[in-house]
Amino acid sequence: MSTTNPLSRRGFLTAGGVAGVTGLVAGAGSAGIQPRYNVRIDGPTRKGAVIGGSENVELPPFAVRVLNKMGFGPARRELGTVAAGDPDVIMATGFENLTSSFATQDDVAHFLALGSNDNERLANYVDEQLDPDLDDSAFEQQFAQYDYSTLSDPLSTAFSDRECADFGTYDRPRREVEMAAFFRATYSRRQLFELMVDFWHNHLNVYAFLDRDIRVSFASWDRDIIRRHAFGNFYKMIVRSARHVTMLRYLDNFVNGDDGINENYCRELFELHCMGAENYAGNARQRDVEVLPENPYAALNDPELENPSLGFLADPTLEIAKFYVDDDVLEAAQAMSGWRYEDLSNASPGNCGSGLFYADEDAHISDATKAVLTAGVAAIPSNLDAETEGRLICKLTAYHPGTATYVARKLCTRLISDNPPQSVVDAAAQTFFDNRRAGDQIAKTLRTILLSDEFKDAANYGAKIKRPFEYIVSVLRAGGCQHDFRVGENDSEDFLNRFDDTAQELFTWRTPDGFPDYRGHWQGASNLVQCWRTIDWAFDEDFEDQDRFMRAVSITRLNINGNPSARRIVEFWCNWLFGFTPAGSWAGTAGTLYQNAPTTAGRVGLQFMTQQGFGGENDAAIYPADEPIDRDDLKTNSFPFYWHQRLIGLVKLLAWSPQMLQR
Amino acid sequence: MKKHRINLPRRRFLAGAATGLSAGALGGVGLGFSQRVKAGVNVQTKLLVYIFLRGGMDGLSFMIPTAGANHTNYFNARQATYVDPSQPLDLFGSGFGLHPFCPDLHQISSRVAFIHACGHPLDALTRSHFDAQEEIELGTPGEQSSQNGFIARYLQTIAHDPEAIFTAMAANSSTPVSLAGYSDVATLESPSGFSPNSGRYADTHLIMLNELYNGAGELDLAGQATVEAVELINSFDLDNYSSADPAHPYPNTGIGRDLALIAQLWGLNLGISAATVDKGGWDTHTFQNVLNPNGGFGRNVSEVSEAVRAMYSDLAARGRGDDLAIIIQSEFGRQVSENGNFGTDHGFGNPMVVVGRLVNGGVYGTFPGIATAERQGDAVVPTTDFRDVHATVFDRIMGKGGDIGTIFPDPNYSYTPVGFA
Repeated sequence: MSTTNPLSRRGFLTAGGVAGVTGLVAGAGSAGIQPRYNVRIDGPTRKGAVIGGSENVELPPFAVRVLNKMGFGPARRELGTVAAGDPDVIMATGFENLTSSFATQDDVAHFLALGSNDNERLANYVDEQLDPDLDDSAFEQQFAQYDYSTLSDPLSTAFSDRECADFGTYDRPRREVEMAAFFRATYSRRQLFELMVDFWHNHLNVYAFLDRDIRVSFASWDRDIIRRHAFGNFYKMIVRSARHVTMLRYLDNFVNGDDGINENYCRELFELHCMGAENYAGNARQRDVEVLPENPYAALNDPELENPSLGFLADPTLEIAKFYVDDDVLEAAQAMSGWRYEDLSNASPGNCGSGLFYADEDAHISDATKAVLTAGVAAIPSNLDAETEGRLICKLTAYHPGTATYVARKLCTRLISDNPPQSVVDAAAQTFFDNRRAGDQIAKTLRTILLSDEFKDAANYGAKIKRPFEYIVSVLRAGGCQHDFRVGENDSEDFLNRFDDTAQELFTWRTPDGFPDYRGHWQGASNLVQCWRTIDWAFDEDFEDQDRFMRAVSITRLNINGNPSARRIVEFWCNWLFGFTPAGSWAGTAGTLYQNAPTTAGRVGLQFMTQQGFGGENDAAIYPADEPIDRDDLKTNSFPFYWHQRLIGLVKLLAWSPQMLQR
Repeated sequence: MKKHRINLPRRRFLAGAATGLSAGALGGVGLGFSQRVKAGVNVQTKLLVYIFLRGGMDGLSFMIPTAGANHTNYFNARQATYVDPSQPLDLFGSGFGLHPFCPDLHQISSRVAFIHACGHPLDALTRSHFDAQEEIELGTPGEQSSQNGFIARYLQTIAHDPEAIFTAMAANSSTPVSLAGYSDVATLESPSGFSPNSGRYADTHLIMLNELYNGAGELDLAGQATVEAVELINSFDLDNYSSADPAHPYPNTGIGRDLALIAQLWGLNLGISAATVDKGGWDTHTFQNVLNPNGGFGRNVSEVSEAVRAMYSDLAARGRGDDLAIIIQSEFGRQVSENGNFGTDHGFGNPMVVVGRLVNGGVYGTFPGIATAERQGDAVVPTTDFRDVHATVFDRIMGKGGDIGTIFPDPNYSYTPVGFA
């Protein structure tokens, strides 16, 4: 039989005022059926020994660390400031900034202006990033110039216009979402928002190529489910995702009915969307599972859960299981039967459907009571309508304390480290749990994580590598991307085709668990080479090649007056791409050998720019590190120096470096 | 056409060789592999190929009950997924027939073991894809704390030739859990366009990339491995390989190309001892399409059958058939009763298949029956611990009988040979 927690309910109340979610989930008695493990570790500990990241990386200052963790890295428009140092060292402050029109847009400078110390700046930056009214008008105007019209089409319009049409037409909404993801992540000031949109797209993963209905409805999915709730309320995101055609189709709940139960959606509702495998107790009997010390729904003030005719699931005397088992999934699947969407098959001739949700009461299994997370007690009464009963299932799962810890752990994994400290997971879970009915539940949870000591801790920097989407976008941002992404435009399409060779073509992860979020998955040679190839593609091989996105020689010439030396160029580009200059510079003092440069990036960059030590037979002639290079020669690719390609080659190398890849 | 991608491991010996890699010492990029490969590294190994059918294959549609009570119960449980007993290919008069789209596999059935109702032990059953796959690949049913996969542990029992270029490969973009914890894995998905920069400065770029990642951190090793992979792969002619048995060419399917790539690289004698292949598309909750040659289950089984036979015949024709064992497994079977959507939901017990010239073809294990009372949660009850099948391969084909306790360290597990080899 079920066991009770040794701590009385009163003990919780007096200790913490509110029952702690940590207490609710962890550390109760060991009797009763347990999950197979408490913490899901599929990170580097599973994939190989954790040696840590690269040894060849300089720790960035706080501002740069924050910008790399809370978004897609700093967009550079102006050189970052550096401490005064050896006058012989070429410091970033020595560069002339001629791009005054961009000065206000430099992310590092912006962050530094937000306060007088790191904590103050971070608090203000988090406030700004979570502010729904954050001014993003510059990007919005840029975006509005192009045809992204399906992104604002109502779902029913998307269906009626596209469901019966040709491939290009019915795929257009999905393609616009994919293209816009790059456009937005590259330019939007709402960096945390775009990062979280990516997070929720993976948390509620959908394989967008599965079916025409999904392609057609994907803009609505992105807008009405993911973006609308990315900072909002978790339960609302879950219940609305469950009703949305995209999810109904992807996980088959649209065919779950009294003529045949289909548990696919409900299994993932428990295992991936809400409670997580860490709270799965397998094939055990419901009544054998350990129960929570108190009913976690009791204090919610949710009218439906307190409604006696709906089973009074908030009854403080009702025992709620700590973990879920197979029978919870099966009974939930019965409860969620009959959820449908208007499709071709049930629309009139000539009508291509609307994709809109409806409940088919004939297909709903209403004649049975159901036990879902209630320790074997069939607390959900019979004869409820399909919509109400399904909603109850979403509440039982989304409001469960196991969901708080599982979702908090995933968020911390995204924002801090592949193996985030349990302390910050607990704190985030508590915030998540305490705000289950708050409209800004997710924003509050993010605030807990982002203002935590664990997030600020420099020791947690470099604990992750950027996934291809983050990696490539971060290079575009730092490299001064000058391209407006739009569907059907050759260069944008070429870019996406190249990016799709990385291991992260967006929205194409087939299984419902989403793209993995641990470094081991992404640091294989196959993925790294394709990421590097994408970066290679994105820089102009010839001066001002308009078919490419980044013009490194132009940026160099805009920011450095006169004829720069190779060392000066290396120093400039390290600062520009990485967002800072370490004490003592990247490339060393004038007159010193490249081998003695104080950083790996500076040493490698300088050797490449001067082509020393390659035996003189690789491509181009050597050139002294501190000899001026005619600024106009930088525009040309002529024997023997091939300066344009050499300078571009330097920038690519730096963009390929571990300094750029870690976050 | 499936895109191939490639990922090679950091080879162990490279740590020693790295000192010779300073850019100044190199005239052109010579990281060392091309020459050795061209000169021929004579590292003959046995090869384990592990094919994982991801999603939960419906075993009752693969080994189909064609007689007696099993057929009657199967008939009563299935409609859209039912296959008439006249169609399956007879398996040794066992009362079970192979799916009719598997004639290739059937033709070599004297060298194929079909083991009934394999799965987790009864106290560790799970219907979660994640749990089931994880625990099978870790080789630890009911437990997920292991740091390495069962193939990784097998590989660690082998005294690999120090000349080996790499000793395991995955025909995938990342390492599967069965190889977790083993650092010497090449993940290979495609041979073409495998270079960060193929234009001017391509060579100095590779040398400098190696310098950027020249530390001992995890990411440094990954970066070095990538650079090495670029050179190694570009030294192979990977697009022109064909079977030594022209009557059974590799099919132009994902699994066909994967097995051909494995056969080719293994044939180069680089030292590969194990390779993994994933084939998805088995989670047939709706429209299972059991007998559709163009899609769904029907096409899936025919692709597996054709590709496996091609590899078997290729290596046999090359005189290396005795060195090959192929294991085919899925994380669980599906429910006996069809659902309302012409598909099937997650079940438990499921057949496993082992192919090789050292295999005595036949049907093994115990079929527990599928009368309603014989099922658990409407699923086939497992009667053979899946580890027994793996262990029999390691013991009888790979010559590792003394290492079973290392490969499957659970003290509560005792190995029972299955008898197919």
